[in-house]
Amino acid sequence: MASSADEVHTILAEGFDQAAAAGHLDAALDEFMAEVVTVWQGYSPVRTGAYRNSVQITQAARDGKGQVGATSVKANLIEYGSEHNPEYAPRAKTIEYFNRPQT
Amino acid sequence: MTVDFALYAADDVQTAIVAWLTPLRRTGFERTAGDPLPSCVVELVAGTESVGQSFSDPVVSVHTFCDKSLGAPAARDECAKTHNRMLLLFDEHEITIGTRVVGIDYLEVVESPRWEYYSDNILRKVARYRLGLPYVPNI
Repeated sequence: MASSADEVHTILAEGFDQAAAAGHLDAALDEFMAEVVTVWQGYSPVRTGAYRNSVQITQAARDGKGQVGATSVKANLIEYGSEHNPEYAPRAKTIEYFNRPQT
Repeated sequence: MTVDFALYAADDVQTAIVAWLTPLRRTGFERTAGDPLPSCVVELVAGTESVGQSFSDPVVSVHTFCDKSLGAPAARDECAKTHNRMLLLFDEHEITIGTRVVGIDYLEVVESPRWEYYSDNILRKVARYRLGLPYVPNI
């Protein structure tokens, strides 16, 4: 056989990468990142709301790349915990939310 | 009154990893002020589970705490031991807790060990791992 599942996967992946690099998926990526922000904020602890509100799209989609992040100076303390607060891990929970099995 | 339970479920990953690291050093579910150093804490931070596939994929954080007065190199070496012990689970697929054996299908390093501030007197590194735990009969 000339083709296999791996070859088909490679062809599809290359097509996707080319479309992403050309910016054809930027609108969809922005939409997805907005969903990521919503989920991340949902997992965020709230006292003053400063951390939750700092979760945002930090780099809008461009040529298939974008970035979501928490810009609060307390972001790492909230993610990993410290002597004074537990490990809330909102970023890790968000990643797992989107990794969960789709059944 | 009787209450029914599922016959199969995944083992508790926190208990398993605490048992795995305890031969190395004092390890627990949480840290209390004044606990001896070095020590480790295992926290369950996230994860997924598929009942249909009878499989659980929890993500745990492993914190290694060291006395800052002993210096960063000593802390670095202690933290390396923790990570090396965890990496052994890539080849060792069982953790024995008393008479019970917990099966580990796979280990992934989600985040390599990294320095994260904990307090002015304690140095800490945190690493995160994903483990595959199959459902097993409840005993």
